[in-house]
Amino acid sequence: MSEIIVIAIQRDGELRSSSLEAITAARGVKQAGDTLSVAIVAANPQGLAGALSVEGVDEVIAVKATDEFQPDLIEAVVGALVAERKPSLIVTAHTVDAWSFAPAAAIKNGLGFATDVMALRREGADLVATRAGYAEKVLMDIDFPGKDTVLLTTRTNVFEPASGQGSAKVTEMAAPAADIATKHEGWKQPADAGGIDIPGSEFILSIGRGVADEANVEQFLELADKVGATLGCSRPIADNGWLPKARQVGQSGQLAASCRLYVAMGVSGSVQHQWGMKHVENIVAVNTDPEASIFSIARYGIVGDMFEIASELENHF
Amino acid sequence: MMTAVSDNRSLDGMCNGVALTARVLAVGDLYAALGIYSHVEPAVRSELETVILGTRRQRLIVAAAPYAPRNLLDALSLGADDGLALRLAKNTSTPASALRRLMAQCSDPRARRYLASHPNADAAILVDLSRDDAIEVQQAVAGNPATPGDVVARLAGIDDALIQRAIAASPAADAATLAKLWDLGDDWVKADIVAHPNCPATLLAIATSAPDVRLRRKLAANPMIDQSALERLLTDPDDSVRAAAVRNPAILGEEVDAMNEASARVRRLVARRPKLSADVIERLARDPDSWVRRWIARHPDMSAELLAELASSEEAEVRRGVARNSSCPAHLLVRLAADPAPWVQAGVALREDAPAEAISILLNTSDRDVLGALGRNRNTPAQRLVAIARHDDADVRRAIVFNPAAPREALVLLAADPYPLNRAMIVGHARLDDAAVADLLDDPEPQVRFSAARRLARHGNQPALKP
Ligand SMILES: Cc1cc2nc3c(=O)[nH]c(=O)nc-3n(C[C@H](O)[C@H](O)[C@H](O)COP(=O)(O)OP(=O)(O)OC[C@H]3O[C@@H](n4cnc5c(N)ncnc54)[C@H](O)[C@@H]3O)c2cc1C
Repeated sequence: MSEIIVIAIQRDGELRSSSLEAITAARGVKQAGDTLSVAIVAANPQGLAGALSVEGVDEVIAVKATDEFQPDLIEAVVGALVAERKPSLIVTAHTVDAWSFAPAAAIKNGLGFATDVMALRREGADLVATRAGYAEKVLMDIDFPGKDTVLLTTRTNVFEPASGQGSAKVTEMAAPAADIATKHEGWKQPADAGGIDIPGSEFILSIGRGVADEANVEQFLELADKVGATLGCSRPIADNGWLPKARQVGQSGQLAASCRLYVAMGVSGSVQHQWGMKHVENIVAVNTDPEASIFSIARYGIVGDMFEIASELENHF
Repeated sequence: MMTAVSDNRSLDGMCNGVALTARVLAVGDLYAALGIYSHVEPAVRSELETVILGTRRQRLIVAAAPYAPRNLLDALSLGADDGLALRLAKNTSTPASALRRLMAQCSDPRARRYLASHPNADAAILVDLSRDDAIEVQQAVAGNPATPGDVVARLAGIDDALIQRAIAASPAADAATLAKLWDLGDDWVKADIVAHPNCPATLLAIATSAPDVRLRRKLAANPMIDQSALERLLTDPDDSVRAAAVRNPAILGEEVDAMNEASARVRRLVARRPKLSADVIERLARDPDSWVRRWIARHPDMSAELLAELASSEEAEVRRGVARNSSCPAHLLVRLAADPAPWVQAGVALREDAPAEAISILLNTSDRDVLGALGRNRNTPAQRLVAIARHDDADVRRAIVFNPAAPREALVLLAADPYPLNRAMIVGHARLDDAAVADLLDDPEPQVRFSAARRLARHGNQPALKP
């Protein structure tokens, strides 16, 4: 019997939905007799307790402090929870907040640690976390031998947000003393994408340098419109000014976070492009080069000319 | 070429060339060594090879690197084991001499398949590989555009769907081969045969009235089709056939003009045709379908009046089309520079011919796409380019890399950019001086060190290098 604690995160007093995803991840490895608690640090944590009291959550730990982004404080909360409750597992979403406190909390408290976890399971009583490695080229299973407490950050948009009304009790916890070494200047919103929503799109049709010329880009905008996809692109296309930067998929562009079908046409599949789309369940690649790396991650591959395939596709819509 | 012995270039350059080589050898940097390899004397090359090919891991990296010098890949192919051979066979830079050697050395069907589809495989290699026992090797030979006609003709007799499809699309397939294939192949193969420029006239005639719409569509795309057949296909009941006919470059302008096309899909394709009469352009500019207007807005034969009309369109993408139209008059560019949609402004900002007034309107922007376009534009004032080089968005800063007129100050900022891609790309800028490039020899990114060393070696005129 042990405790699992999710560290929920708020922004300006509003709960981040990725916290509900972290609850789902934690719930998935909860064993008979385990308790699942969710800790929240906020100016009015009681006000968020209702949203966190979802099915499977036994307790909400309300830490009254501030709505400001204070990673040092959350790090101290993690330290206090480890000391007081000795949980077997702590889970939080892999966001900018977690990047700022999780590694330090893991080191300071001697925790087992894995970031950006995409799947979580038990092998017997042991916990196994799956994450990508080597620039997303391999999937790695990680276990934590000899660690009493493990801290994991879970990739966003991979786990379903937890739902279902729960009946968690709410416990107040005093904010621990923290050595505040950082100062939060403010949040900066990403540039206005002019209505282009790569992270929110379920179906993305992406073009790369195979499109060859600005004059040809319009054809794929038209095709995307016809098939109900959002048009994405690789870096060179956005660099050339042929499509807005908001359409760029990849390491220096957008993450195709909600995508279920990704059709890559004339994209070679560089590591940096894959960063933004490799996780998509259904990838269809169209490329004249049978050796293009994109085929190594594609569920369906078409060795062929993207213009021919595009006009063939048009015949079906 | 850099050499330790005297040559006919300046002593200064030669000494510094030597200094670069000495430094690369002393540091033992694989990537910098790769960058200079092709630019040094053969004797120095063997010294560099100790740095480049020192360990098996390094040899595997080099064998798979498309930027590796060809002569080095050639050297690596000598006695290559299976792992190396596979990487070399996949590497598109591996020269024919190495491919030939690998073919003789290597029996692994996977590697032989890569050899058979390699863009540098010559006719002799392909002839040999066409007799390989493995069907996947034969398929790759059939799909290689360099495979000679007689080999293609022979392979056409093999009962394999992938070989047949590859041959139906092979530029070396002649009329006789295609005729033979017609009797053997399935419907997909037949459709490809009908689209082939060497398709025999008898088969083209069969396809003209074929009930299978796929065949008529492919026929309509064949650039060798005769005008009467094309005219007939322009009135085909199926709009996908008419669409294919409209795209056919063999079609004459008047035939398209004469069409009173009901399908928006076909009209969109008409709007993309390079030659259109003034009447047709005018009709399409007022088409009810917005995609038709988007296409025609980019047409180079649009009159100034119609462009002005479309510049007032409610649809931003139509206005963007006008902004990108090479015939767009200066006064319209000025108007579009003040467009409410940043994507339209960006279309103007990309233009080297945008008038100074348009550029000065655009300078007020804070939009990333507009700034990116201004960063590429050689007419953007130098001070603004420096500000772009300091922008907090790495993608905006990178635009400087593409600006041939970027001032030194902006280039130096990019060479010290925190974003590795920006440093890697600025190395190639013609106006970045060698002193700034030399500093990049210590860059943490291998790609940057490779490009910096290659550039310095090419110039053969490096400034004093740090020991
Ligand atoms: C730090 C860093 C960050 C980066 N961030 C990103 C990023 O966010 N997003 C990104 O995309 N890149 C990014 N890159 C760039 C990346 O490394 C590649 O250069 C880029 O992804 C290549 O784009 P591409 O696939 O369109 O072009 P290419 O690699 O040139 O590939 C074009 C492909 O089109 C195929 N092709 C050509 N003609 C046709 C045709 N008619 N039909 C079908 N196929 C055809 C070719 O076979 C080829 O495979 C980054 C690089 C670095 C170093």
